[in-house]
Parts: sequence; structure tokens; C-alpha cells
Amino acid sequence: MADTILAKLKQSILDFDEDAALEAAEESIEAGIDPVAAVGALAEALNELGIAFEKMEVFLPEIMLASDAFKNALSVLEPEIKKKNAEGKKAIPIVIGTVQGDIHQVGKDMVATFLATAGFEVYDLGVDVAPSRFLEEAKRLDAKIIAAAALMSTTRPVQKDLIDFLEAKGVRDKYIVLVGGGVVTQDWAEQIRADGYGQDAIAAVELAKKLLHVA
Amino acid sequence: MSHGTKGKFIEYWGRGETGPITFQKEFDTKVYWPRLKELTKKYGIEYAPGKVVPTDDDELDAIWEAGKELLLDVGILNVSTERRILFTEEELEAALDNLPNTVTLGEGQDAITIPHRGFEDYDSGPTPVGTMGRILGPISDDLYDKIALSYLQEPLIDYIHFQGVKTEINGIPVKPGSPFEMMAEQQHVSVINDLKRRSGRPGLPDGGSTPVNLQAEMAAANPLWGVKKGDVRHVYIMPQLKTDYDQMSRAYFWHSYGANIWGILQAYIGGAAGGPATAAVNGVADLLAYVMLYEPTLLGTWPTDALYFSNSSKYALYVANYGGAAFSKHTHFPALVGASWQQTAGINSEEYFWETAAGAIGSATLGFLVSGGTGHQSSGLDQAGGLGARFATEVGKAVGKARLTRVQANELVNKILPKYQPLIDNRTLHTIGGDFRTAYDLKTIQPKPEYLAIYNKVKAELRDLGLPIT
Repeated sequence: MADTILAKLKQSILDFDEDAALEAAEESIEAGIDPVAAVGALAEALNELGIAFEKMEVFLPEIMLASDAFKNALSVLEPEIKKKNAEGKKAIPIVIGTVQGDIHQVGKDMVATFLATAGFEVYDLGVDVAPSRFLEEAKRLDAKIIAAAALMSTTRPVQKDLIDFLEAKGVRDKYIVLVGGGVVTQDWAEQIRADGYGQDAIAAVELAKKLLHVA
Repeated sequence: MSHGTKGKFIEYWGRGETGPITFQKEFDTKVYWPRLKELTKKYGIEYAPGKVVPTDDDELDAIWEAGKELLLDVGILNVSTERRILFTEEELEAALDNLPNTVTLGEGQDAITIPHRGFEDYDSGPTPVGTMGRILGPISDDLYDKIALSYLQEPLIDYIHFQGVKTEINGIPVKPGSPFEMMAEQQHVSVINDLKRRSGRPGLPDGGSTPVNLQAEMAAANPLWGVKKGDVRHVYIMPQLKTDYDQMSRAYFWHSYGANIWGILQAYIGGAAGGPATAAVNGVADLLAYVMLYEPTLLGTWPTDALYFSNSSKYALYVANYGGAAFSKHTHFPALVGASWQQTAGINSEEYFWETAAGAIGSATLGFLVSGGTGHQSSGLDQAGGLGARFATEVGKAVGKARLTRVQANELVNKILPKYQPLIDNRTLHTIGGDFRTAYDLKTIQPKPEYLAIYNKVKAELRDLGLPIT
């Protein structure tokens, strides 16, 4: 019985089906399945999708849908985990956005989606985000990571502004700053003293996990 | 505005105030994507390894029908109002019917007239039908003139995108929306005009849109010293099938000014546009959306791999060639720039020339303009040089001389791909190849002997592969 429900949960993610995910999550609670195991089944599906994405077997809109299905299921499972106090750690908050003056969103969306599917609590600030807004939101949400994207040579300096801003406010050490985008390189990340650079969405997730010491 | 929808833009843009309300995420995941997938399946469009230059007309017809149906079904999202702009089939057909057969870019003696060109048509005029040189990415202040001159001294280049980005004004970073962006654009345009004059090519068309903000573009719109009416500026249809009021304002401004508009098929393969087959369908819809909304004088194919920025990968070439050819076969749109707008490897490498050749062979065979000049994913400093654009034209000329069929072109590009595709697969191609300083003598602005040796080596190998390049 438990196996069937866990398989159903996993399948709901693989099918990108928000309603089925919610239904299966509720079913798992009713059946007394450990919510941590239920989240494990969801994570397994997301991992499979991540691999399929790299092979170009599934695509960004589907990952976005899977991410929504995951969130739906989590809305039922998370309170149960908290109740049981079993591994009830809050997901790590991350704020992400494309820097001020830049309206490109595809790369940023990909990173945001993959961070969410990796279990982070992602707050997507959208595009054209001012350094001050990154800071305000990071403070408000108690974020651990600020991820800033830039796709144009002309907007790349705003990534440096963000770091300058954090330093000026004396909070640079509070946040891990990740940078990325079409014109961003490892050299640039080092030059502006960012904490990391991800060449793509998958690399960004690995980097975030590594820097936060999470599996 | 002079062609395509001919003045209908007010009505069409206005639909962004009344069309179906659709939030962005809903558009991406529930409207655009499922329909794109359905149509790609319905028309049996499939990507397969080895497909680079299209050889089957039925396949192009299928991509055309699917792309057209996609645009008619889902429309284009105006992100500013979160409403979709929809068109009827009759409106689309009328706009296509109204397209010109030729367009003229530039002014005076330097003006070029580009006709529509069919596939494997080597008798209606020179091949390639035109050459676009492209300078893109950050350029050092001390090299700004030299890099531009390296293109201007190349007689085979007809049209240049002087999009080298000035990063500082008096040591102050140039940020979007700042007065420094306006100053940088004024400086950029006037310097380029001066260089064009000094090269004896004052009317050479320039498609160099560099500012992020429209106000900075407008600052350089001056018929005496600034953007000329023969020049071309970019309007953006964002991935995938989205636009906004800022882009409409750009189009409105430049059309009112009397200059030209360029736009691109911009599918992110592996990202929101899906795999190569869906991305090619999306590409047709992108190009049609430009025709309906922005009356472009020049269009281009600019797909890229979503996970590793490359315009010249096997997937990007497929989408550019198949999407572009489907559009070209069913319209008489005159000026379509083909694949590989910028290369992935640095300019001083064999791989850079191989990428350029792979793009130019398909483009010349299909009747598109060829392009070249920029390397290192357009993100490295000073990664541009005129020799790459010269090489693209020479490849195109050789295609014309050999009268390559599409089948032969496809075979040839498939022989070239192994020379660089593995480095795209392992995501290291951008680390190869030096910049302008390593490639050119900075005093004479001529390619250094060792750079010419690389260029000549690739040409010799192309001859060994059967392409009569001189």
C-alpha cells in the first residue's frame, strides 16, 4: 500500500501533474506514511527529471510544472514533518533575480526552477532588480544566498554594485553571493569577489549545495 | 513603417490592452508549451542526428505550418499588460503578401540591396546574398577603433553590427539607465561614423544596438552625426513569444525616425523552447511575430543551446537552418541572416573558423546572408575581428562556386561538426582561442602571420573536404 502511494507521488512529479501530486500527498498522510519518506519519493522524481533535462529529454516548461507539483505536495507534507519534528528543517531561503537594467529572464528562471527542485526555498525577485532590493529581500527573508544574473556586458557591473552595496552596509559576510549569466565568467566572479559562479543551472545548484554544505 | 503589416501596428499593439489575460508562467507552461508540443507532434516534426542543412521540402512545409499555427493559436504575450496579442490567419496572410522582395540598407554608394533568394539559387546574383560582420561583447577602450577598422577594411562585408560595448566613460562604469549610457551611445555612434568616413564607407549600414535603455538609443538619433536612416536597430521578441511596451516603443521610435529594424529567431534549445524540433517550430512563430508586430527590414536566425551558450552547435544549426528555411520557403522576405551569429571559441583558434564555416555553408546554400566576426560566446573581452567575417564570405563564395546542393551542404557540415562539437558537449569550447591582441598587429591592424596561418590551415582543410575556397 505504502509503496503504491509513494510510486504515485513520484509519478505525479514525472507527469508534471499538480493535482495528482496534491492528491497523492494527502493520500500518503491518510495512510500514515512517514512524510519524510514521501518527500524522498518526490526528490527522487525531481532528480530523474534533472538528469533527463541534461539529456534534453524533458524541458524547462516541464521542469517548471514539476516544480509546481512538488510545491503542491510539499504544502501538505511539510506541516506533517514539522508536527513530527522529524528532520523538520526549514528549507534554506535563496533570493534570485536579474540585475537592474537587465530584462533577460530565461537563464535566471532556469536557475530558480532548479534551485527550487533541489529543495531550496526560492524567492524570485524577477528582472531589473536593484542592489538595494536584493538586500532588502534577503534581509526580510533571512536568505542565505543571493543569486544575481546578468546577460549583457552593460549590466554585468551591477553584480559588482550588489557586492559593493553589501560591503558598504556591513553585511557582506551574511550572504553567499552567486553570479551567473551569458556574459559572466569565473574571472569576473573572482574580480568582483563573488562567492561563486555557475556556468549553467545545474552547476549553480551544485555550487549552492556545496557552499551551504548540504547534500 | 513600409512593409508587411503597413501601419496596422497601432491596431495590433492595441490588442495588448484587450487580449486574453495570461500571466507569464501560465503562458509558458499552460498555453505556449503544450500547444508547441502538440503541433510538433501533429506535423510529425522530428530532429535526428545528422540533420543540419534541410534537404526535404516536406519537412520544411511541416515546420512552417506548425509555426504558423502556433502563432495563430497562442499569439504573443505582451508582458507589460499580461495579455496576449492574437492575429487571424487572414491578417497574417495579408502581411506576408505585403512583404517586399528586396530591401535596401545603408546610404549612398555604400547602400546594399538584398533580394529574396531561394535555396541552391546560384544564378540570380552573387553568393552569398550578403555578409554581416558582427562586433559584439565588451571591447577595451584602446582597441575600440582598431577592432572596428579591422572590419571596415574588409571589402567583402556589406553590413556591420558595431555592437562593441563601451564599459566605462572616464573610468565610470556604463550602467543602463544612467547618463553614462547615453554618453557611451553618443560616443559609440559618432566614433563609428567617423571611422566609416575615414574608411571611405560613410553610408555602410550599421546594425549596432548596444544600449539597454531606449533613452540612450534615442540620444544618438541625430541625422547629422548620429544614427543614419540607412542604419538598423534591434527590437526584441523575448523568449519565448513575448514582447512588451518597451520594445514597441523602440520600434515606434525607429520607424518614426525612418531607420530600419532587425529582429531574430531566438529559441533557447533545451530551455523554454524545448528540443531542436519544437525550437524550430518556435523559430517560425518568432519570425512571423516580428512580421506582424514590428515590420523588420532584416531578420536573423539566432537560436542557442540553453545550457551552454552556443549559436553554432549541432542543435543551433538545425534550428537556424530548418526554422529559417521553412520561413524563407513560404515567404519572400528578403534579408535573412543565417546561423552562427557569434562563435563559441575565441577568435584566435581553428575551432572559431570551423564554427564560422559550418554556419556559412548552410546559409549560403539556403540563400541567407552569412555572418562572422565575434568569438568567445560574445562575452570575452576583445573577442572580435574582421577576418572572421571575411572568412564567412569566402566560404559562402565557395559554396556558390561549387553550386552545392542542400544534400552536399549537409554532408559537408556533418564532416565539420566533429572538429568542434565535442568541445560544446563538454562545455569547454569557450576556453579556446585568444583575443584581438593575440590575433592582430595593433599598429598595422592586419592579422598577425600566426593568425593568418590558422585561417589558411582551415581553408586548406576545407579544400581537402571538397569546398573550392580561395
